Amino acid sequence: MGKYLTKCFGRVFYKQHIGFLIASYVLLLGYGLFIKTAGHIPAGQERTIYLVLLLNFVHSPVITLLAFVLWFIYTIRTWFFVIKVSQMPEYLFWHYSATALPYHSQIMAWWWFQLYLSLPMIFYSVLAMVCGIVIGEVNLPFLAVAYLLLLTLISGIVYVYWFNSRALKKTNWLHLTAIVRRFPKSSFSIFFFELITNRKLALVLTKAISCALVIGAVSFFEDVDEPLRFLAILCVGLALIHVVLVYLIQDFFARKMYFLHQLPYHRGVLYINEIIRWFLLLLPEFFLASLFFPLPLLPLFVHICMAGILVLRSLCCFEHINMLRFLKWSFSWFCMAVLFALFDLSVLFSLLNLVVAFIVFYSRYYRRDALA
Amino acid sequence: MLLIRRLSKRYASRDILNIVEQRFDKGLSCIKGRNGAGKSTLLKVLAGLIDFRGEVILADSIFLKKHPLPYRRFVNFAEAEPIYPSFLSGVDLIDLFIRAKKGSVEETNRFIDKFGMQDYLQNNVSTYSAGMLKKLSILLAFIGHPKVILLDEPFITLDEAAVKQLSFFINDYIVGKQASFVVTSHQSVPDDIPVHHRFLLENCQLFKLS
Repeated sequence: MGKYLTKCFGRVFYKQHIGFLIASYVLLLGYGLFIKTAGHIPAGQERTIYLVLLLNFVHSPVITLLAFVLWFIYTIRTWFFVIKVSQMPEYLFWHYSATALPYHSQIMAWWWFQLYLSLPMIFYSVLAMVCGIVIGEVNLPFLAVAYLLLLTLISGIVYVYWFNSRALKKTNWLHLTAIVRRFPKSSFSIFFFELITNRKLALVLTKAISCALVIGAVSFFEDVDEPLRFLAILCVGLALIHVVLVYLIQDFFARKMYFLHQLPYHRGVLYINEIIRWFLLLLPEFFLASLFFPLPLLPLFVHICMAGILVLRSLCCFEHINMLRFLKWSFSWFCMAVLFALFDLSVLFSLLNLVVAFIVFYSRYYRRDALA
Repeated sequence: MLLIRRLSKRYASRDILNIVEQRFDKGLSCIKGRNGAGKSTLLKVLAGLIDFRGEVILADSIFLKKHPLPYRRFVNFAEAEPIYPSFLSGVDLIDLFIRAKKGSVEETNRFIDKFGMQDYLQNNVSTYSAGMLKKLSILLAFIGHPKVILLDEPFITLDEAAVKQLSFFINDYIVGKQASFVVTSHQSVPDDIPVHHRFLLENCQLFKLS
């Protein structure tokens, strides 16, 4: 049963969260491997220090606790995901098939399944364990492994409880869907409704990281020699941070809103709508930029961010693009954008982005090869 | 009414449709074919939802590729298994379609009454049964001023009363509004629906039977 659970729910989970997981690992490993350490480091010791930085929680109870909290949040996210997916028509059969097994078999299968979902944390724990053994600090790594086993076991029990007792009863949880039902919806606003009902986590994380980046950049801004260049790189970074949202929204439109292609909307108007929607979504960053950076730089900030988002969005107009391929293309675009910024050609590059984004949107809008 | 010329469609390296020329004249055209013959693909092509090679021409002057807006104003489509975002209600979708297709609220309300949909349209579509969703998608296909309505397997999942109402609407639109229908079905069409032209989709080609 565990094998089929991983096949049914596990792959879908990783497919939907791959962007977030890759971004987290890039951030963690990037921090550990590329950060410039303060002070004098004797030659030959950099790698050891990077590893110690990366796996700080091996001997720091505070960092370990922080990691445990994050793991707990991740685990709860997996519970909500499985519960939500299990209510979809194609997964309903789990409620009346697997539940016929004895409880201990069910718990074992779900425990195994949760281990599969916890692979990123297991990977991290193993790294911590190796590091701990090397530096002679094994208490916290062993605690981490025990914590993981406990979390996965509790998860197994939660799933079994859900599938056997709760699944077919009415829940009284707060559903945003029920709240947004009262608001009128148009083809323009559906984008926002999808974000706040089904993409809350991605939206909150993206906005938190993005706003943190803007605020963090402020402290460097006055010291940099080339403020325009710095601002341009910050803007392409902001656009890159939004890639997961861009992909999820485009995927939603491709899968659930394809009927819009049957409606007589002018492509030019649709494109303008798209620009306004992303502008509204980036308003918090623009607002922060207006507070912290010189006002004359704001149009440049808006221009580069919007051009970046729109050109990344246009990548999704090509079919057969999955999340991984999209992320690869996005990173390639980012490298190119940084290169242009280093030669002070960001404005030109952004204009080029706007032209490319419009041409791709206009020429690909009616060219879908198949419905998802 | 609807002319197809040199229409071809491939998925991966497999031919799905390869139609040299065919015309759907006024009235109701029924396309039969085994499962997987390409009936739904053909209707999605005619609706402008998926890309293809060739030409589709409405009323001898409106080309699907050259005139995407007028074509979509006059050609409506209801698919076999409709999918809509879970947070939208039937009312939201009807409003959206009325605005886009410039439909009439009174006409739509008449449909809602006859189909007995008023009790659940306020609810989110995620709460609808297959039959309720099907009724909604058929209703959306009648909104506006369509010259051609494409219905993909319209009779599956509908109850007997709804099929009767659908027959009534089809007759009403053919006679009263000079609309034409292209319907796919792999089951027999109810007796009270007049089938004017019969087609068979086989080996990627569309043959006119009568």
